[in-house]
Amino acid sequence: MFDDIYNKIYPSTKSVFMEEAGRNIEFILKDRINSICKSGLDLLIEVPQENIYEVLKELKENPQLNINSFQNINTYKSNGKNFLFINLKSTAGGFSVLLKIEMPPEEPERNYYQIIDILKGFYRAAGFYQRRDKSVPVDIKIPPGILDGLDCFDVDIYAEDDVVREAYINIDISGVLGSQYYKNMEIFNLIAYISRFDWKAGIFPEICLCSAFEELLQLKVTERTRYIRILIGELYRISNHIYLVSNICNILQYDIAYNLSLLERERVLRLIETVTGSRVAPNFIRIGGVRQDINEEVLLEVRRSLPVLYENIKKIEKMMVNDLMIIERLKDVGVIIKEDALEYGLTGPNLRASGIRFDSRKDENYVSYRDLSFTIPAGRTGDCLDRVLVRFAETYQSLRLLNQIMKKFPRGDYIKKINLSNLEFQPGSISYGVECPHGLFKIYMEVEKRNIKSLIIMGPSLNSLILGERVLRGSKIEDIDLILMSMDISPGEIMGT
Amino acid sequence: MLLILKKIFYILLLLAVNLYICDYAGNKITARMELRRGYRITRLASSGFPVVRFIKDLSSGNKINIWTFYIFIFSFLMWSVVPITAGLVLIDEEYSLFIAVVFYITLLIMLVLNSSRSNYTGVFSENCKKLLMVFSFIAPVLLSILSIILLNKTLSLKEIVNYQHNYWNVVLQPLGFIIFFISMFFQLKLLGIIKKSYVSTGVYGGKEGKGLEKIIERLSIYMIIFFLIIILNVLYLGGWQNFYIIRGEIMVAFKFYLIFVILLFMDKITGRIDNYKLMVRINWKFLIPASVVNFLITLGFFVARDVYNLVLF
Repeated sequence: MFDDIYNKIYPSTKSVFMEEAGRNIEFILKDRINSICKSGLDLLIEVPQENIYEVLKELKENPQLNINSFQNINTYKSNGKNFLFINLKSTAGGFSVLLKIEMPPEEPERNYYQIIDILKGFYRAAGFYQRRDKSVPVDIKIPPGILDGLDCFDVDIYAEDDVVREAYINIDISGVLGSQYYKNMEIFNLIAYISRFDWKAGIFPEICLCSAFEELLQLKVTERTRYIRILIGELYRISNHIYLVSNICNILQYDIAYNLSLLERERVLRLIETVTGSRVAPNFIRIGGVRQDINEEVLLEVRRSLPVLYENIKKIEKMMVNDLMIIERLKDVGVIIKEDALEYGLTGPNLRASGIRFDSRKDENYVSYRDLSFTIPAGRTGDCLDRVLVRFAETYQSLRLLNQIMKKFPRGDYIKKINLSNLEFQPGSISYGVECPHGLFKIYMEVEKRNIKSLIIMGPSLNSLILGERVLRGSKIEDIDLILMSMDISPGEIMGT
Repeated sequence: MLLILKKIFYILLLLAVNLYICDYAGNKITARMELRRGYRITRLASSGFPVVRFIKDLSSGNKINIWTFYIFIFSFLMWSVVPITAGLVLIDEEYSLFIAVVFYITLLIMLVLNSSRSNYTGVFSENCKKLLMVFSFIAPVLLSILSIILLNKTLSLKEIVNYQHNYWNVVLQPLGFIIFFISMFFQLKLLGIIKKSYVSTGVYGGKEGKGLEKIIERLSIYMIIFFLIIILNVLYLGGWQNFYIIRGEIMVAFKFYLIFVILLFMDKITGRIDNYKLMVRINWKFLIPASVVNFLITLGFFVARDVYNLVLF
């Protein structure tokens, strides 16, 4: 049996190995583990339900694999079969393991919770998906819509005096989307809609999707395209970070910084509008390029705005940092320690605020960041203040990147002129990730000809939300909205799960 | 009898006009700051905005409970002893300062009791916490008032104003004035000057309360603001004393709106304090010790002068 499996493993041109795995993964993979770790590719393993315990034990305890981080769980339907999709990650190796489990048609719920129970033994974070006891009356119930901008979940609080004893976050309300959204949708249509999965920075799902197809087609985009993508991506990053600051100020009722930061966001959004023609859902990235070229006038406008943006954002930061009341309110609130951040699979600025300098823009070359210089800011304690300050620091780094892009903006085509109209893909699957402002935005797709059989959005916000339950425990009731807001949760990503 | 009715009419008219102006100014400043465009309703209704909001709130519900009713009564009763100008006072009492403070504290207690109407336990505890924080800010206010009483040797508000014909008390009690002003500002910040309600944390749904109840709550908060500004004016800023050739009544209006606008802008540039940690740092570690020091200095001065004859003026 093992020989059969071993012979089936092949180095794919895609970033996913598709294989069935039996009991002994170490034996199957043998010396391939090192090459997987080096390449940073994702490992897709089809696991029968009865073998899940052994596979998880091997993944967790094998020092070479060292899969120590839990990302998320998804369910989806494909060809009339139900699948459970578990995403795990090795922080040391920098690669993900995607476990695909076919669920038996009878008693799906019982089987689901059985697997969750097994998973919970290895990864604490999986407890988020377990069955919740709803018989105990809730002390405080925060319905969606009460927290500004976070209207995709409700929070049940069990409190002792004014301290949270237990917090349960329920995302059932965002499960309305389901698979109907992309069912039988053509790949080219999906590009127009994918930005809705992250309405705070809509360009990143587009970049992620198009880059995935480019990888599948082995298509190399031009240098100018890459620079345009970085330009628009960094503008969206700045917009997202300033929006977070404005939200924090709104919660603190610090009106002056709130309004000033909204004005700066407006400035950035106007720049984005001049480039893409849209603010929230840009629909700008295409397979092999971008929709339209950037002319000199737009570049000049961006160049003129950079120093103004820097000065104004610096002013807002100075205003907040010098205010005792703001610092007192943010300091030592919602502390996330390094170990928790890694275990719960946190990525992006939240992870960096906890003191881990990790940025996939440095590690992976999904767009040409390699010839641009920037530093990765990191916090110390991982409290709300650190999370805000890391965002400010990242904004300055984004401005620095934009400045560099302006200086060496290459000439050439903005899109590869290839005929995609008759394109049909072989049945297969692909996963791809980009560093979006909230963290590592990842998608997993199964494509067939021109249609998408299944699409799974693995947004970083969900990990923040899972960890949110833990961070809220022991914090003050008045800090709940502040902590959840500082985690930068994008509702669109949670809708996709 | 007619004279009293006339006075009541004038006081109510003055309060109504002030309410209108202050509500409009507060919303205008907030709207100005919102991306320089303003709330849509503020732009549409313009100067009629307070009326529009009043009618809108009135249409959504008219049930009130007993505490809301008492709040309504006390909001007006407070003005029976507080002199706005020399003539505009209903009851000219010898202990008017004492009675005014009692009315003020009673109104705050009413607000605590009123918060128990909520179905959410969270809202109730949050309200109680906030109002208890407001109560703790009363301590420095009372200590500053004690210093003033020592200085002027009277409990009558009219007498205190008359005492200031040479120098305003702010000259003799600068520290007391600063403490009074800061603690007053934080009380107003906690109550919420122009925010939806004094329940301002998003967690509990700051949208709670509607209809007549909301109107009366807002009225009571405005009354507390007016009361504190008038008391500040009377105690420290010379009340209705003429300022060179400017008449006292004009000076009262000028000082009132100046303080109100300063409070509005200060509200915009400071963050929310609903946190115990912050309150300790501001109130228990700064305001209360400073007010105690101020009181002790004043007391020491009078003891040295009157008992030991150490000061020769």
